[in-house]
This record gives sequence, structure tokens and C-alpha cells, in this order.
Amino acid sequence: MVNCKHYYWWFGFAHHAPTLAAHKMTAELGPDMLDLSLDEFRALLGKRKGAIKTFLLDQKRIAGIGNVYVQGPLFLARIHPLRSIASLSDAEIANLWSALRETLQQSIDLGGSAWEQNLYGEKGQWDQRAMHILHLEGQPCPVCGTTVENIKTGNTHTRLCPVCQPLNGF
Amino acid sequence: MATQPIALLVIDVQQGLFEKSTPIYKADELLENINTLIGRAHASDVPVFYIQHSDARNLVKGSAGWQLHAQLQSQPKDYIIHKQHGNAFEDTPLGETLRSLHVDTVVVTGLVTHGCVKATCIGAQEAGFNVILVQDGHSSFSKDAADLIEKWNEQLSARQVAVRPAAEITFG
Repeated sequence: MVNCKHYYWWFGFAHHAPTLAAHKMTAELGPDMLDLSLDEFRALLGKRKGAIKTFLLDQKRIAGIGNVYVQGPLFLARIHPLRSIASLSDAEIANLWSALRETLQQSIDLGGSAWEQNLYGEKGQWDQRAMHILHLEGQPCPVCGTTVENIKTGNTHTRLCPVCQPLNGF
Repeated sequence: MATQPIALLVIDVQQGLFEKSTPIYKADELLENINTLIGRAHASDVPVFYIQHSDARNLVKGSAGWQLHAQLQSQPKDYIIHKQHGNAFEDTPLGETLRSLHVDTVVVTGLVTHGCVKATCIGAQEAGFNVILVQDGHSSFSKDAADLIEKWNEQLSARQVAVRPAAEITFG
């Protein structure tokens, strides 16, 4: 049976290359999110156009942020995924940078997500307690009580609170 | 970017700390003073940082108790920092964010006096910031809260922290 409510994508390759630089896919990756200072993150957003979530998921712009990892930080930073990058304030960018780093580092510290295994078959421990909004669809927002929604954002879905993360900002 | 080299830090003013068996000492006055400073900071375009503590038992991240106090007059332009240690500068991006805004002085308020407020004042100094502690802008849920406030106002003052009442702190 296919569980249509919660679905995840797995990506994986095994390639041989003499050096990382010679590996085309790796060479195309943007800087690692965890290596970016706040000023570097701001500079990357710069005068970019388009929606913030689309930008964050583009591995050629910034590497390391997947759909599971982007939804919590957007919620914590009170940013709608379809907000244009140009509309974000300094504080919103700083809060997003901080929340992304915190979330990614927490997952690394816990050995990855609970539904994934490492090469030794050990499951990670980063679970829904750490993911805030991701598993609250249809339930009250922990901040304001509004029902958490699930909307389509390009090729992915996003759980969000329509009050805490208004489409047009505050 | 901030137009002034100063920022307001509101430490751990979270719902869960107001629901302890021993209430926060002078909670209403504390919230009023903090909100007064938040209002002045907003009016002067001074960045406001809310520090949210989390742990595995009492302030579980994402829980109702972990949320900022509902009476805080926060605005979307404010900054949020999550911490897991007493010192808000430890293992957080607070210092980097402040420096990015060219801030050199922090005004400290919040909870609790002899815990995270004290630790953050000292941590801010160690990180190279000038520190102003709001004399009547910090408290705790300790039965000895009044004595602790007086004690740490004095001890931090002796460490070159400027201790000033909320009424004297303006950002203009």
C-alpha cells in the first residue's frame, strides 16, 4: 500500500571520480549552507528574484537544504515559502539563516532523520519533535492556534501557518 | 541595517517560565518595563532580539511553554535567537548577527536574573560588547528573587556592566 499522506524522496548515486572537482555533479553544487556566514547568506540572496523556497532548494545556489529541512526554518522565521526574496527584511533573512543552520546542525548531531539509515544501518534520531510544522498538517499552529495547511509550492509541498507566515508578509 | 550601534536583548521571556509553582517576581512590572523598552527600540529603529531557551524537559522546543510570552509586543522586524545554554552567545549566531548589524552595545532584560541574564551579560562582555543591564528589567521565579535582583545588579555593576533603570534608557 502506498501512504499518500507522508511521502519522501530518496536520492542517491555511486560514482567514481579521481577528485571531487572532477565530479560534475559535485562541482556544480553551491556553497554548503552550514559554511555560510550571515553576510555571505545575505550576499547570495542579493538582488535575486523569485520565491525564497525555490531559491533555497536549488542546490546550485546553496547546497544542503532539502524539502524536509526547509519547512521548519521558514515557519520559525515566519516567512511564506512563496514570498519573493526581494520582499524579505534584514531581520527575516537573519532569522531564516539562523533557523536553517540550527536545523541542519541538529539533524547532523542526531545522525540524520529518523526514517533514514547510515551505512551501518543505524537510524537517525532527528524526528518530528525537531521538525515543528512538518507533521502538524490539519492541527493547530503551536504559536497562534490556526490550522496548519499544506500547500503546493512548485514541485514540492509545504506545511505552513497562514497567519504566522502570511503570503504578503507583515 | 540598524541605524544605531545598540540592540535590545530580551532573554527567555517565554510562557513556560510564567507557569511555575512560584510565580515570576513582579511579573506585571517586568513585562511593562520590557514592553516599554521594546516600544522605544522600535521607534528608534534599534534591533530587538528575543532569545528563546530550550531544553528536553521544561522548555521543549516547539511546545506551548517554549513560545514567547503572549504579551510581548514583538514585531516581524525583530530577531529571534534560539539557545540551549545560559549564555545567549554560546553556540548561537547572536554575536555574528549583532556584528553584522554593527552593534557594539547590548541592553539586557529578561529571565532569570541569576541564570541566563547574568550569564548573557558576562557572555556579551567576553564577546566584546558593552553591556547595559536594565535594573528593573529582569527577574526570576525564585523565592529570593528580590534579593537576587539586588545582588546581581550590584555584582554585575562591579564587572563594568552599566546598570540603569528602564526609565533612564532611551535609544533616540
